[in-house]
Amino acid sequence: LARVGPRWTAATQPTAAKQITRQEAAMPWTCPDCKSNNSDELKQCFCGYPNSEKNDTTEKSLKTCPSCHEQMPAEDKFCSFCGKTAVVLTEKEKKKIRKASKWILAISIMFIFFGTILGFVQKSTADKAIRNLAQYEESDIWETPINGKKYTVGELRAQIDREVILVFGTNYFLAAIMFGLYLYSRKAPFPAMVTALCVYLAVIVLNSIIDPATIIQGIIIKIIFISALIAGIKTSLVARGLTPTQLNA
Amino acid sequence: MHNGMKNNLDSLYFQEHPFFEKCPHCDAALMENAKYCGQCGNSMNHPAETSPLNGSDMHTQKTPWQLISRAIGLWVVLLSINGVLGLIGHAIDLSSPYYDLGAEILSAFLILAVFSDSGIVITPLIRNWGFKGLGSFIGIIAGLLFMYIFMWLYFKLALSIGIEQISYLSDFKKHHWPLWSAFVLLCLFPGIFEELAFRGFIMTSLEKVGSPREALVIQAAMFSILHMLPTIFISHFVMGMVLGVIRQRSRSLYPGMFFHIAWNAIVLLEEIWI
Repeated sequence: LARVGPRWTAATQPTAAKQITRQEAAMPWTCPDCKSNNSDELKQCFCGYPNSEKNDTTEKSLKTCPSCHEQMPAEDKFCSFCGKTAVVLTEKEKKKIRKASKWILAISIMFIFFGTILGFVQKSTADKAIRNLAQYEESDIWETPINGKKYTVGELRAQIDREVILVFGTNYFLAAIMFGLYLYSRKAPFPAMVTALCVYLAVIVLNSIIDPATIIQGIIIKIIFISALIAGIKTSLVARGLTPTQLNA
Repeated sequence: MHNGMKNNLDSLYFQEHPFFEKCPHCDAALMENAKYCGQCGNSMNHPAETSPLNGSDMHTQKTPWQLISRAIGLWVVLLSINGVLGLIGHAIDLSSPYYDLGAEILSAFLILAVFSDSGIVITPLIRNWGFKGLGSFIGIIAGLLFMYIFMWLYFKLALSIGIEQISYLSDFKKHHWPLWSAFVLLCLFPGIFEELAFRGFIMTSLEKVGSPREALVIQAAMFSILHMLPTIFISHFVMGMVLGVIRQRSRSLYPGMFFHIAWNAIVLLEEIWI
């Protein structure tokens, strides 16, 4: 923090408390036509601006922002007023993106489906365990330590109940996240697809930490989902006007 | 109140919109009264003193897919460190600070390795000091206060539905490691290297493909997902957004690192005292 001290003192001096005015921020004026730098005062350029023919047809080179309906130059990629992307998609591209984002919905449905199955499997084992504990009192101590700690039977019962809720809760929560990403992907496909891919990969890794056998289970479905999401990211880039494998100008 | 101080505070809140004719990020000519750049989508509300991410850097010789795959690639590398160490821990049940030490050193090494090989330039972010007088400190303290209130409410809510907060120090206490080692391994290392990876590498490469807003959202999501606990997805997503906004406004990594280290230290200190 050594460099902060002097700046702080300098900033608190009355004269140093500057406002950024137009003059201070003024860089050389840039010609909107040929993008070359010129003197700020004249607002004229050797290319002919503002009297060039190009500027007589300014109205033709404007377009309307799809989000806030402000006028903007046709070549701009983002709206200068709302900051959102100004790419207008064709029906074909929209259809392609909707198709790609359905994969996120599919993952969401899969989480609900397998979450329900796993939850009920967990519930049946939990019921068995509770039945085994039925002969004990609440305050009895279970002799076999779990994770190096001894629990009372009451605590064990609570823990078993909690584990069932945890299995249901985690899967439904992940399904809800995926469903949210599906809705988001219809508005903003690119970030939604990337996030969905990351969530799905993280779930695979998390599952394999809890139970290493799950790495191989359903590996074909996993590969299909991952490649579909990667294809979805590429589709969303194409809709953006970018070619994924070509340098943009 | 001291006159200069008052002026400075006034300039914080009542500053006239600075007027730019060229985007400080990509050098494109701007429309009059533009709030965002039409070419790169960056906000003009918080313009930089200098322009670290300038035009020459915007058009790197990388295709969009190369940029995205590098960003996701680094993230997958970090995820697989968690995965592999988790599997090892599953096999031999280790709950020692050596786990943290191994994870931090491995991820630091791999982040630097991917950096040096990626061709994505973040030197402007490292050269720019980022702190600008009193304003940035007020901002950081306000941010920490906001995060503290938010996290307090979040974990209170989480506790009410039965999700307990994790103890970060228990392993260090159990194996009699000194307290400073916990601060180095849980505050300093993650603070520096997570900022380098997420706000540096991943965010910069995504900004060259998508708009800055999208890059902000994606890196925050990646940051929260990497913590590998569904219960803290939302809280860490907000944390990632705050850190991303700090990086966007300051155009530097240092204020974010400072914020990150300070936040982790607050969490540890809370565990020690409360």
